[in-house]
Amino acid sequence: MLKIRMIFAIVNIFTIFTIILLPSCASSIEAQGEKPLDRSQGTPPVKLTGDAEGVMSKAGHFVVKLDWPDGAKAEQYIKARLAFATADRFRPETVTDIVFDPQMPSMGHGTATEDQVISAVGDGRPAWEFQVDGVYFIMDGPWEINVTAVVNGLMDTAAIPVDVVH
Amino acid sequence: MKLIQKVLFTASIVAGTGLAFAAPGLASECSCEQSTDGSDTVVEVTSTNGAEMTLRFAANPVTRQVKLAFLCVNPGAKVTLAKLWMPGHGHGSSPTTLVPVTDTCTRVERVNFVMLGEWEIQTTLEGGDKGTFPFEVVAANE
Repeated sequence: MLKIRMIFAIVNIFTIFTIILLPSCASSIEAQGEKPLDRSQGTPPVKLTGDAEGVMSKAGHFVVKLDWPDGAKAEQYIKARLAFATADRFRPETVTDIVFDPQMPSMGHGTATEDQVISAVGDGRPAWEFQVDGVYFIMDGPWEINVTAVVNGLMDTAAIPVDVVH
Repeated sequence: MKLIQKVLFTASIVAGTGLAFAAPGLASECSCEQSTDGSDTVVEVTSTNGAEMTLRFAANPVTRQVKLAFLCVNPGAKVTLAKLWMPGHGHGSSPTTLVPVTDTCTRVERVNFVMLGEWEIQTTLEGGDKGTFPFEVVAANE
């Protein structure tokens, strides 16, 4: 009977410590500025981490990261993903008027863009990630994607190099 | 039952009348006849198997703004491919869309000239017959 009482006492002490310690741990995380991402709130933490990620726009108004989920391939319809951030790599409040313009500087031409459809990705509000469907490179080689957008009210263009393969 | 039959009969009459009016309209949307005022560009070639093939753009000259062409084949044959190509550059453009309108005339839609210069439309007919149309795409203000 004494043993059972001792076990109950130990469990009770452990439970009380857990209740006291957990909130204090959470508050220490908040104090360090590492709030968990809450998409329903206005100003979230960094999305693009590190200076090496993404390409800075020409006037320094935004950073954009370009991904090719199925590879950058020529002579077939493919899709691209764009993730926008502010110059200091925070999530922007607004991203509008996106233009996705592939150019081949060495050949002096671009490609057809009539089939492109640009749409917001996920349930993030405001939208800062986008998918570009219907991208078509007419040939392989070195291309440059000129991504123009109005980010937080400022229009700018980022030139992103890409090596397109067959 | 009789009511259903009446409704179906009436619907068929309406649909038939609509088709009768629409068919001539569709046919007139595809023509390779050269206009008398020279406002279009017509290229005629003979296919590898001897068919007469005509390509018409409703513009003269052909510029990058042109997005549509008409392709006629005599004797009539189904067009299976119309590929834009720049022989001097080794590249083409995005795929066109083929819309057969009559046995002899096909609309070539979604034509995208990505640069100025010498272009071809390389066509393939059902059965493998081929014809290539050369032409030049120039700037709009020329």
